[in-house]
Amino acid sequence: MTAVVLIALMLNALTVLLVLYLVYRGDKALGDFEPYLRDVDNIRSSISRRGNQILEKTITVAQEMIRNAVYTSQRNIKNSEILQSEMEKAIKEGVAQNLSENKQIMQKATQEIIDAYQKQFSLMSRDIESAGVESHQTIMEASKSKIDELSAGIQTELSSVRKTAEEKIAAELLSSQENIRSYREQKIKELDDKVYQVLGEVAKKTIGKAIDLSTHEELVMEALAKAKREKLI
Amino acid sequence: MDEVTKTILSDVYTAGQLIERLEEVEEASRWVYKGGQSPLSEKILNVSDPFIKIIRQLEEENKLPTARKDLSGKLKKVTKEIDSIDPVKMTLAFTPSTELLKKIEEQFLADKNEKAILDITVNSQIIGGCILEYGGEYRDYSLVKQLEGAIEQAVKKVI
Repeated sequence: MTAVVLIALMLNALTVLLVLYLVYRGDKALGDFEPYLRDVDNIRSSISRRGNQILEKTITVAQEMIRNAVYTSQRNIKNSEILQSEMEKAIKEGVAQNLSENKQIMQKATQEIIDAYQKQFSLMSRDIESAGVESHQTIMEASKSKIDELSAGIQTELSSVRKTAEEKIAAELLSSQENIRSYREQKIKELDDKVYQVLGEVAKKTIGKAIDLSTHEELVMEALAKAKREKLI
Repeated sequence: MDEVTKTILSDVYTAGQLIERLEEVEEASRWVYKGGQSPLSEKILNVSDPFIKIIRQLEEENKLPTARKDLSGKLKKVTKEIDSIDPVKMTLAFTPSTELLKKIEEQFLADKNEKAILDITVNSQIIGGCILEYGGEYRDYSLVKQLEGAIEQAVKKVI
């Protein structure tokens, strides 16, 4: 145990010695770099100055460039305005010209289209006329056929209607004749009654008296005698 | 016409009376085999007294057979003869008395061995005389017919 502790202590001591050595070596190394460090500072200062000079130069150049740019821009704007004006003018002229040309083209195209259509229509008219003649013929034939068919139907219908009407008229006529016959018989009977009444009155006046029973019997017997003479009984 | 039939119809002058008498004869036929052996006039019921009187008269005169079968045949013959009589249709202006009917019948029976049955219709419009329909013939002997003829002649003269 003690050995171990001694070993450990020894190792610690060695470590400390090592560190001390290293520190020493470091300080020494740093001293070795001192001139270099100064050079570095000098260089740094030099660079800084140079940078400032460059920066100033750069700023100057930039300012110059900006001015140039502004000027150029202004000039460009002006040129642009001039160009815009010229372009507008040119465009107007071009548009006008284009319109004129387009108009002419449209007129020409329209005329061509119209001519084409006229031609087409002319052809179509001829075709239509031709087709119309054929159609007319077809329609006429179809119409004639249909009219014939309808005529036959109407003829049949008329025949039926006429037959019905004739039947109805015949029935009405029969009824009317029956009514007339009945009326006539009634009137004849009425007339007969009147006649007999008048004859009775005439008989009374002509005979001069009402016929009594014995006269009636005499008349009957005379009638029977006459019937016997006529071989009726 | 059979004598028995003529006797049975002796008091019958009109078509209505003829129908009644025919029914009585048919009733008598039904009594032939009913009521035992008594004479028909004694056992028959539901008939008129004049008919019974006629039957009795015929029995007394022995004009009706006594045997039931023969009597039945006789009555059937009478029925058949009555059925075959054709009445004389006669239109008069008045209702005739029985006496007149007898006179009329006599006129019919004067030359014929037949019984005349009159189917009388009363119509005052003929004024007088009669209209006869017999044997398919028609004769108008009415006064109105004569008057119509007279008027027609008178009108023709006027025209």
